[in-house]
Amino acid sequence: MKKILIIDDEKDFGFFLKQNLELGGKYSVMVATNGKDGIATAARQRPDLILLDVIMPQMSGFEVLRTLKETQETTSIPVIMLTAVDTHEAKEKALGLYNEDYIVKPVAISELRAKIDGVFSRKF
Amino acid sequence: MKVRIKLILLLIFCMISFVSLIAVHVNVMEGKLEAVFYQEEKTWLASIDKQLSLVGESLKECVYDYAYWDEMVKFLSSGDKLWAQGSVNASLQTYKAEAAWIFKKDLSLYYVANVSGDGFFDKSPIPEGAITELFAVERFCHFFINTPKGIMEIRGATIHTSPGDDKKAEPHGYFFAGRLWDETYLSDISILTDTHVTVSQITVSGSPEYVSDPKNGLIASTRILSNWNGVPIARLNILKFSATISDLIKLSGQMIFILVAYSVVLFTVLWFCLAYWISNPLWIISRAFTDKRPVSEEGLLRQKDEFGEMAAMMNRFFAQRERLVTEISEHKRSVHALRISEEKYRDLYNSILDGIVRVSMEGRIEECNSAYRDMLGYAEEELKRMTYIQLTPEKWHELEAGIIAGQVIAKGHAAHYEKEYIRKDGTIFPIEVSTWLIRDENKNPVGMWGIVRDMTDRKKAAEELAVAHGQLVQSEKMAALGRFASGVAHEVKNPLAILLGGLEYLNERLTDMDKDVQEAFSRMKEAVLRANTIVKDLLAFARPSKMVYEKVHPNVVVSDAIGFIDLLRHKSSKAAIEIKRELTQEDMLVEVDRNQIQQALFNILLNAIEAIPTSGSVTVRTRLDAAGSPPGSGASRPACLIEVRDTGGGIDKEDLAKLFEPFFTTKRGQKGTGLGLAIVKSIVEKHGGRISIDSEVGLGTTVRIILPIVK
Repeated sequence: MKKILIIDDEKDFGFFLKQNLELGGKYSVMVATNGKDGIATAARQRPDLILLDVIMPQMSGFEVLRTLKETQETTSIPVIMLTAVDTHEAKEKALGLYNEDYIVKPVAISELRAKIDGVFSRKF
Repeated sequence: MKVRIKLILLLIFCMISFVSLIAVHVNVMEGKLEAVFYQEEKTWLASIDKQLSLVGESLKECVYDYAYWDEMVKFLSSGDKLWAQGSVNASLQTYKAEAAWIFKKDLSLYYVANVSGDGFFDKSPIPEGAITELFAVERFCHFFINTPKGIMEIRGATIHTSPGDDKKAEPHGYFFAGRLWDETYLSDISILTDTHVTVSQITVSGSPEYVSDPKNGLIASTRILSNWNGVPIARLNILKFSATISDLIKLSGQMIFILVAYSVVLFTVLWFCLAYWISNPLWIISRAFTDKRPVSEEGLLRQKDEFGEMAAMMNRFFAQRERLVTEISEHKRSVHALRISEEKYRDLYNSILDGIVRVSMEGRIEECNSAYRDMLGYAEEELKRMTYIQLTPEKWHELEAGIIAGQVIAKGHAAHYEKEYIRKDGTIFPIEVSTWLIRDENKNPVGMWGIVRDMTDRKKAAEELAVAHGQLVQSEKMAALGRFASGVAHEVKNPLAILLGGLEYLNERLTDMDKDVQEAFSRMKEAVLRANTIVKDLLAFARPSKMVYEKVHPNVVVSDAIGFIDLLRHKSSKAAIEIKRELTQEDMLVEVDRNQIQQALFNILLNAIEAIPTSGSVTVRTRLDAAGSPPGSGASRPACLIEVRDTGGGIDKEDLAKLFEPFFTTKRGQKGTGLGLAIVKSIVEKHGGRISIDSEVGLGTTVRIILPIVK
């Protein structure tokens, strides 16, 4: 079972996303509500994929992404940016930090699953 | 030839002439002196000869003395030696003779009287056989012999008795007496004749030892002394120094020296005088003329002679010339500056963008520049037959007359005022005029200068500036709206995401829902997605994404957009609507953000299809529009026209005016967000294009997009 870590300050969004993803029984989902916890969890749990919000208090999604990519334990974990920020600049910035994909909220769960599966299929 | 050279040549000629005269004089003098000399020599030699003859006469008398010839005859026969010693020897001393020889008739030496004591004289002075020969013609002889003591003069005579003094009878014997010409005798002769007498041997060359030297006053003469048979054996040299001739010659030489020295001094002084008085001043003046400068030599300028005056005159001339040159140069500079100024003025006059016109007080145009002619479209000759009043629309006449009277004539100048002019083609255009009064030398007004500025472009620019300002304000508003929309979007999208996630979760978990519940979930989900679409459109409208330009043929983007529409309507109720393509074959390119233009065309096509209920057609046309210049492009230039015409129900005029307003929609309650055409207009304008919509209710709608082409 693939482990997915959601890092998003929107607790309700994280809750429903975790529920929706785990419904299929394919993924084990963890949720962190800020960047710092997310990085610690990622280092400790070594998830197979991270779904990362951009606008969060304390550490932005970009800072979290940069830290994850610079940390040896987490550098190889694929990251999908999942955010409400729908700007060209944000997408370009995220792509420059080697994330796997950039998905704008709201997104249908079916579409998200397809993208996650796509990442796993490319990775393994 | 320069004067200096001429003077030198003149002096040389004078010097040569002078020297020649001296030389001629010297020659003449020398000739005269020589003539005098030789005359004196001649006289003197005659005197000398006479004196010598007189000196020798005593010896002749010695042998001729017939006082004792009878006694001699007697002696020849008696042989009385005592008599001989007493008479002959005594006679020798009397006549200063050294020896005497007496020969008998048979030529034998009978007696020798030798008072010198020298044994040489004891012998006969001549061979015996020669005696007969000596007296063959004459009874006397005279010759010289060489002796150890020098030359001896010998005189001889035949011996006769007294009655036979004519000596024509047979001689009884022969008598010879000799006198030695020793130093003493010669000295005596010298003293006697006031000469210097010497005897010298005959030289081999035969040339005399002494010759006369008239230049030194020396008179030399020689007499050959011959022996008994006429053979020369010695030369008697007689020298005399003529003091008078010598003094004359010396005087002549001194005179020549004095003359030469005088000539040297004379010509030197003459040269210096000529050089100082004539040559140098002339040279200085000539050089100054040649160098074209004033005379700087103070000495010459101080001179009171003609050259000094000439130098001063020349300096005055040069000073005058300098002033003249300066004045001419200044004049030339002034003329040049004036010409440059005039050219500048003329260039400025003709190149200035503003019209410049000079009119008479009656308003007749007298002169104008090219800008003035160009703005009115008249030729200069045409304008000169017109007044500015004729060029001004009537509504401005009263106002302008007031300005002319109240400002121009009263104050001399009228500040800028605006009015209008009428072009030759009849069009009226705005101008701005400044007017100055022209006065003559008596301050009487004679005309006016007007500077006329065509305000057409400025007014147009002001209008465009106002538009641009409005656009800028709009742009700033849009930027603020964009920032606001981004914030709102983020804050709305998260709840939407939560809602969507929740709805999907519930939909999955509630497996035994009835149809109504499922419908409710479905509608809720659609509402969420629609809200999300509104947010996305709002963002697209308010915060457009970054443009990525590329050059494509307009047909490409049009075909792409039609392709998307075809995909969308493939299985929908709109599938029956025909989309006609009337695409241009012109080779042209537009520089566009392909995605954005596709989105714009997609929106337009979508509107067109949605405007047609079930059947109808949408015609998409592209063409090159020769006069379709986009706004702000200035002069008209070709552009690309993309036209989408539908056969839908059309839009009423009231709605037509609001179509591009954000959130205005004719599909309220359906899928429309009211932002589609606003986004389309925004995209088109970002590409430098413009969009317009024509519509007739019941006939359909035509949307036209004009984009600038790059080829």
